[in-house]
Order: sequence, then C-alpha cells, then structure tokens
Amino acid sequence: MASIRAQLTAAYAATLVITVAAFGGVLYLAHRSEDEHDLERRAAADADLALRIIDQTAAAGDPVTATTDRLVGAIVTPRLRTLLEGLPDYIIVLDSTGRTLYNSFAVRQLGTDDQVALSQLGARLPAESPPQLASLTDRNLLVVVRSEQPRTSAITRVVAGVEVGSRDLAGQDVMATVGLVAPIILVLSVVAAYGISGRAFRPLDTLINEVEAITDGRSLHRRLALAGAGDELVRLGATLNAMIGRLETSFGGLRRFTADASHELKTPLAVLRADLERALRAPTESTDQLVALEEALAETRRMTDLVDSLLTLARADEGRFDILREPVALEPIVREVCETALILGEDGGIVVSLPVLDDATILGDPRWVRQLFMNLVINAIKYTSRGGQIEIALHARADVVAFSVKDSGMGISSGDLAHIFERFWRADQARSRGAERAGRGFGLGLAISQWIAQAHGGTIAVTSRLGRGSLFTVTLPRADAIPKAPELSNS
Amino acid sequence: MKLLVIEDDPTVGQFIKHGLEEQRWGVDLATDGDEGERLAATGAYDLIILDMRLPKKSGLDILRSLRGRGFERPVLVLTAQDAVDAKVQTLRAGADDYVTKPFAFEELLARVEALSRRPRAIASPLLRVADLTLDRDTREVRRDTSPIDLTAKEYMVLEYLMRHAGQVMSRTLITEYAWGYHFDPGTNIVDVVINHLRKKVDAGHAQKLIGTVRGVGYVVKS
Repeated sequence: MASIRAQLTAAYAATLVITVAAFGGVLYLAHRSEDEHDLERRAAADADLALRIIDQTAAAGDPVTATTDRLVGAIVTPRLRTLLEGLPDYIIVLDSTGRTLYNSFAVRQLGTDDQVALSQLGARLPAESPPQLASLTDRNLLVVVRSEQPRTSAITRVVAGVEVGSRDLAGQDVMATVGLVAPIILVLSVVAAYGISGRAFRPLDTLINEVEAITDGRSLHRRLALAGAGDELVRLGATLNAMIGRLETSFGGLRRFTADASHELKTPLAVLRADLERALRAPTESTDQLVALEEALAETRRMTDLVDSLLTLARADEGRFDILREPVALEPIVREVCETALILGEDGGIVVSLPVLDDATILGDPRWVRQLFMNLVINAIKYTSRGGQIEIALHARADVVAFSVKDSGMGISSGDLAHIFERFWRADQARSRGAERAGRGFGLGLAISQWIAQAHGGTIAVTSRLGRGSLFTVTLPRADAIPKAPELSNS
Repeated sequence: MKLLVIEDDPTVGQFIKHGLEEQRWGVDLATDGDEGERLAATGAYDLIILDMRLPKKSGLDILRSLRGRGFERPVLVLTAQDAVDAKVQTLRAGADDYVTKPFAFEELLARVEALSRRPRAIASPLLRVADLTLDRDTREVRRDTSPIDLTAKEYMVLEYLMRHAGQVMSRTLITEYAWGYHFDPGTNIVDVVINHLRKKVDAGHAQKLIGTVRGVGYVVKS
C-alpha cells in the first residue's frame, strides 16, 4: 500500500485536476453563450442597418432596383449597392419571389451551392423568427431575417449572417490557455504538496523510527522524543510513551518475578539435593529405597536445570549477557561433544561422523559454549531415527568459526521453523515420535542456545526439509583472527 | 585439618559437615553470621566455607571484615547467585573460590581439596580395586598388568566409580560428574559407557568388578 504521503498527494492532485477542469469548462461555456448573444446582436444590427439603408433610399424617392442587364433581371441600384457594401458580414437582399437582388462581398466569396443554400434559407425563414444556424460547406453562419414592409414592392426581405466559427476562436483561446497553464500548475502543486506533506510527516517518520527501535524488553526503558512535533503528534507520542511505560512496568514485573522465583527456588533445591545425596550415600540394603532416591535426585536435577534456564533467559531479557570473556579453544569442546554424540548415537543406532575439525579460539564462556554445542547435538540425536546419520563439523574461516550439526532426521516444517527458538515451544504431531524418545524436554534448549550464540556475538541458523533432516549452524567471531575490537567486550 | 562451615540452613550445613567428616576433615558448623565471624576470628581453621545469605550478618560483610583484619586462610563461598557480576563481587571481596547452589557434594569436595592443597597422601593419585588400577596423574588404567585404552568419558566414569569403590553411585551422579549439570540427553548415556567399560575391563576375567544396581546405578567393587 502507498504511504499516506503519496495518497494525500494523489488526492490533492486529483482534486486540483477536477477543479481546473470544472473552472475551464464553466469559463468556456460562459464565453460561448456570451459569444452567441454577441453574434445574434450583430446579425440583427446588420439586418436592421441594411433595412434602414434601403428604407431611407426609398424614402428619399430614389429607386432601389434597376435592371441593367436583361439577362440577370432587376438588382439593387449601384447607389444602394455602394451603401450596402459598407456593411461587413453576410448580407443578402431578396425580392418577394425570393430572387436575390444583392449579395454582400462575404456572400460572394462563398461557393455557388452555399450562396443558393443561404438565399433559400433566407427565403424560407419566417421574418422575425429567432436567429437560425446555417451549416455551409466550411463554416457556420448565424442567420437573422428581416422583412421589409411593403413600402417598396421590389425588396421584401433582408438576410444577415454572421460567421460563427470566426468568433468561436475566442473560446478556443481560453481552452488553449487553460490547457497550457493547467499542467504547469498541476506539476508545481503536486511537487509542493508532496514536499509539504513530507515535512508534515517527518515528525511522524521520526516517531515511527523511534518506536521501531523499541524491539524487546531490553529497550523498553526508552521514551519517544516529543519536542518539535506538531500538536497531534505530541499527543500521540505522549500516549505511546504512557503505553510503553505500562509495558515496561508489566514486563519488568514479569521478569522480576521469573528471576526472583528462580532464585528463591535455588535454596530449597540445594537443601533437597543435599538431603538426597546424603541419603544415597548412607549404607542401606534396601534397593527399593535407593531407586526412589535416585528418581528423586534425577527429578531434582532436572528441576535445577529448568530453574537455571529460566533465570538465564530472564537475565537475557534484561539485556544482561552474563558471561565470561576468556579465550576458549573450540577443538577440545567439539571433541568432547562428538564423543558424547557417538555414545548417544550408538544407543540410538545413528552413525555420527566428524568430517571437519579445524582449530579455532573464541572469546567467551567455555561452560556456555559447551552447552550450546551439546544442545544442538542432543537435539539432532533426539529427532533422528534409527539408521540415520549425523555430521558434526567445526569450520574455521578468516574471522569466524562455524560449528554445524547436520542430521538425516525428520526435519522441521517451514511453518515450525520460525518458532523453534521460542521458549517452551515444541512441535506437535510431526515430532511426537522424536518427543517420545526425547523424554520430557522443557522446550528451552534452543531458546538458551540462541541466547548463548548471541551473547558471544554470534548467530545460530537453521535450514531444514521435512523428512530429510536439518542443519543447524552456529557462527561465532574468532578471537585468534581479528584484532581486539572494543565491541567484543560488551559485558 | 580443621574447617569451619558457616551456613544457616541446617540440612545443607549438616550435609557438608558429614560429607567432609567422612573425608576425615575436622568440621565445625556455625549457623549465623555473628557466630561464624567470632569462630573464624579465633584462627583455628585452615579453611572456611561461607554461605552468602546469613541471618544477622551477610556472608559478604563477614568476608570483608575477616580480610580487613588480615585473615589469610582460603575462603570458599556458597552462593545462589550464578550471575557473573555477583561472583566477581565475592572474588573481589576476598573469596578464593565459589560453589553455586544447588551443588553436588563432589564439586564442593574437589574445590575444598584444591584450596587446602592437602598432601596427596590422603587423595592418592593411584586408585586400586582388586587387580584394577587407575593412575590419576598419568591417566593410565591397567587390569592386572595389561593396559586398558579408554576414551575420555569412559575414563571419567571409571575414575568416579573407583574413587567411590564399594559404594553404589547413581546414574544421575555419574552423569553430572562426567557431563556437568546442564546435560539432559533423555537417554541413559551412562549405560552405554558402562557397556564399553565392561568389555574393556571385565571381559575375559573371572572376577567381574563392575556391578549393576537395577534402577539406581553402578558400583565398582572386588
């Protein structure tokens, strides 16, 4: 979807186009009707003037018609003709039979057909009828007819015409002007509108960027800057700030609860554990009792593990990457992890191989790195069935080292792939077979693994195909390849 | 050698006291901060195990006040805080080492032994059960006189069982010793390792040294 800024500009431009078009249309129509009135008046004036000239000539007792050419018949006298030539436009003088006595210069320029058509129209039209439009071959005329009272029997009718097309040019001029200026106005306005809306939206953009920067629990302490924004934006910002504040409070409460609860559980767990260990060491002949104690110890250990994991993740939410920063050689850790995988693989009928084992050192916490690698290997074993294969590798590159675990297990569907690093997430039916073998995991292993990778400035990535297997890759920055950079020690 | 445990929780305190007494340490137990500091100040102890959260006076205060008065013997701190900064704080205040709660006794003992620099006469490098010997210095394992080649994990499991020869060690304890706390493979990994050990240690010998206690764990005894 287009941005509000673009939508606003488009709406503005559309409104402007409609306004200009409507304005131009009204202007054109107004101009046109004004023209028509003008033309009508002019045609009427022409006709009246011609009539008056004929009248005055007749009143002075002068003849109005004369026959100079027998073949042609009677036409207006040369004297009257000279007077009538003074009139512009189209003038035709007819006698009672409709025969033409006089054609003005303009009429004489017309073709014969047009001359005939015009004089016939003039003869046919009733006198004093409203002006009539005559369509000739190449032009339109507005025609007015005046009838002479029978003072002079020779002349009965005067036809005056005014060319419509010639005056219409004025309306076209208006349209041409509008057509020329409108696009320029349009372009300028759209640019201005886009610029202005951009400026108006800039505080909103800033606001969006600031809100976007608040991605998780670690950045909830941030607040939006309110200065410089418009009134509505200040209100929006203040509202958002209040909301972020409430989020921070509840998020903090949840985090504190998790941390406190985990912490408070540790002491009773220590007591429980001490009791169990002591009971296990005490000499006894009852195997049943030992079995119960061992089961209790195993559960206590699992619970301790869960509490530790919760505490670790609660701290991670606070943005505390609580780890040591010391040089850790990865090769021995991978060897140990691989031996463990071999033992587990033997139990599950899985072939484990270690095709690549480079030597690399990172800066970090050996305990966590070991757990990260162990988690991935145990995960691979859990979700690979008998007869499968697991490939473990440690590839050293220029400034990073990649630890990868590839299995031929059941794989992860693309829909699940996005969730596997979430806390307490476990795949449903598809993985039930593996889950059965896996025992009762808490679903925290991969969440912890991701935290460990991130805490070491690295990443964890997974590619998988359902039914074909998965490939987990942990990439960590090498300590023995890069010069000591300050961002490495962000403790 | 004498050792002072300052721990307010009676269960944990007694657990440490009895466990260490079994290892032939002399142990006194103080259950609050004031008593602990008074006893420590007598100078009668070679090593102090100090809990951080105590009634009356906190472990950190005791530690600072002892070090301030020139107390130079090793102090091992017990803490429920496994955050790095909390550990750094205790080390800065003068602790020599720390154990995070909950802990396995084995870990506590190992740290106490390391701190006390006890002569190896007590913690001998050579473990022997019948004709099976394990040298903790050279990591050599022999049955009779023939050497046995073990992987790293096999060695750790055997060493743990031989150190507690005659005692049934539970699967959980063995797993923790060889793989640490945060390890939950979902299968009994120890069983597989024991199988290997049986093939390498007991196969071909009339006397079987590795015994099973079903549902509990394993024992090495003659």
